[in-house]
Amino acid sequence: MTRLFASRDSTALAVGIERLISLAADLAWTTGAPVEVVRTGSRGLHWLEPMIEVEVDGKRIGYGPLVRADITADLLAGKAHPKCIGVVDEHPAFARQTRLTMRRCGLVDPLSFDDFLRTGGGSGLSKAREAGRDAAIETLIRSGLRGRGGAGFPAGVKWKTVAQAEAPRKYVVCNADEGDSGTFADRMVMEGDPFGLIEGMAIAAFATGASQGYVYSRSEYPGANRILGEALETARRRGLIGRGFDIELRVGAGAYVCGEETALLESLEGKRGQVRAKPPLPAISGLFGKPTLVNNVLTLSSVPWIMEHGAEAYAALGAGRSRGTMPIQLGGNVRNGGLFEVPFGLTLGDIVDGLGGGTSSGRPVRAVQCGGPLGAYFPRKLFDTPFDYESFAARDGLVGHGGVVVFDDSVDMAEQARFAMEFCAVESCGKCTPCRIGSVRGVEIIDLLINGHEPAAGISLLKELCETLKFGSLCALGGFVPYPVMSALTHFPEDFIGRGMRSARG
Amino acid sequence: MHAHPNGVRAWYKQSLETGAADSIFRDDWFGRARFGSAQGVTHMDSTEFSEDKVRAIISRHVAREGALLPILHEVQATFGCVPPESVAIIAQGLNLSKAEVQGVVSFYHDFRPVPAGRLHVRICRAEACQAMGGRALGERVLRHLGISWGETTADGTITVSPVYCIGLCSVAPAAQFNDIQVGRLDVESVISELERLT
Repeated sequence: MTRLFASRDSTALAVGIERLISLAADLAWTTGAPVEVVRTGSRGLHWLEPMIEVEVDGKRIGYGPLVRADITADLLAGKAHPKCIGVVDEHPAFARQTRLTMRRCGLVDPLSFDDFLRTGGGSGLSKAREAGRDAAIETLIRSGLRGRGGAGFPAGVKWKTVAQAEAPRKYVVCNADEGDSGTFADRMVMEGDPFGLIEGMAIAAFATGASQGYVYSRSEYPGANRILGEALETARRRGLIGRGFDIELRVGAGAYVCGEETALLESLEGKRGQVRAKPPLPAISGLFGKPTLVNNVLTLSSVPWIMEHGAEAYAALGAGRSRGTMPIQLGGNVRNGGLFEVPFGLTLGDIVDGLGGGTSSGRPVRAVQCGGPLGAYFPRKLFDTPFDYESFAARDGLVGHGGVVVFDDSVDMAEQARFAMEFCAVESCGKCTPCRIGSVRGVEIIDLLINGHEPAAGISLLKELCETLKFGSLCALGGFVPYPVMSALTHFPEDFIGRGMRSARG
Repeated sequence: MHAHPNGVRAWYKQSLETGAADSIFRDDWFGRARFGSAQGVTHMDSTEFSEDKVRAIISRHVAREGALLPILHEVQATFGCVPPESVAIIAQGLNLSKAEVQGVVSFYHDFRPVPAGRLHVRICRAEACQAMGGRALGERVLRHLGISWGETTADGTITVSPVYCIGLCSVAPAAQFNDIQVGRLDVESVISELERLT
């Protein structure tokens, strides 16, 4: 029986895969050639969605982006077709990737434990157990893996701190509160390879001595929560978790700041998601005052591969002190949007023009925001910046969680700077004054600038305010909002001053 | 698992007969959002407030660590909102002060004091959607309905809320209609579907 593959990832569902795959199955029954439909996660080639893959001689031939009229007998037979993109594994956008963290996404049925085992699932955990706690942590340190949530702290060092903390109860918390605009890699992992994430958490629990795990996800991700919830039940039934270490899924309630690790812990405890002052580090005193390992989804999902293949294989990839691979997410006004996992070190230009193929509107790229709503806007003249933590920091930017949002030349950068401040005002937890009040003042100052009111004084006040936010805020929300604001002002001054003079004259 | 969508096919056949098929087929989100779906609780399912129901919800979660958020989520899923009269009951059940519970309820954007309209539209206002005309989409929908962010139309049918990223950044602009997420939206088809409902 022919097998059809279609993603059940939120992206594919949101562009109508459900109707198309049922139509395809319908046509197959009508023509008397029944098919088996396999629902997978997403390969990340989102501009080709909705996409259906047809298995012919063990190879999966892709068709997309499909509309209703494309569902024909030729497609079902894996034959030539205007929407045929050939063997998907050999498609340039897929073949040029190094998929370690995302290695199962789009290839397997995310809820099939047998698919998971067949693709090497569980061997990372076995290897870690054979090696022992200390050796597993040592492997992680040598791999050079850094926290993928945004801060880029060496993961192994954090693990070691939790492992060495003495306590009757310890926690592993997976930060899946992926609130940054332009990022969706955590969601794709939860929807495409939930068992891989669970295995990563099980390894973390083994290495640190934790007995309880939590995944803190978002209410904005209903699809991911459904799939991960089901996967946790299966993992418990199949013994991956449940003996000495169990995991519970918790869902936030629409507060961006809960992606900050201490606010997340407060929220897990059932409180307002307000950040805590550090120290103490969560690794020493975290959830309910116990030693807690807080790692991002991508960090934990990278662990099984590292344990299985060794620290050296992972550390061999990357650039500078940014080792391994990063799932880069391309969104916004981009022709080929989606997720591409590649070693660190591509330039921003390679990413936007090479992987992304420029804008979807066909107009020139004017600005690119990297690292979410708190990340800097890069102009085209900085497209030679290599994608790694240090190179981005050197240019006052953030790699963050790997999101890259593309804007064409119709963007108004003063509007974008205003939005960054507005967003900070809406999402501020209110605990520290610079963030709570400074963000509101920031909106007001930018409004004055936009209206052409004393531009020189406004700009110097805005710079001063950004300094205060940067150095006076308790966490990254207030501390990083100067990145988008100042980068917009520095690289696109004409959008602030020019318009001010225009309206002053007018 | 999804190979036998008889329900969907029957529904599609029916919509063919009513002539609505083409539009609804293209924007199948609207049909599913309007008629409800098997995925989660829609706003049409919300039930009458009762103290006993709140107490039953509390007793299901009280033994969990950090039980308050799971309780509030289930209360909202049951009643379509977190009714102000439930706050004291929850506070008592968890041995917290009313202020503590109210403080948590008011902190999180998701929890509402009154139910949303029959169709709850959450339009993404974040950057990736902005880059694809998300601002214009939001403004146009609000103008069409004559409401502001967070408000419900006078007839109680439609609520429009902002949301900051639903992870559909590569198929922007995106929005969520009850529990159905949709990408690659264009303003005109959203407006014409909303017109169909009102």
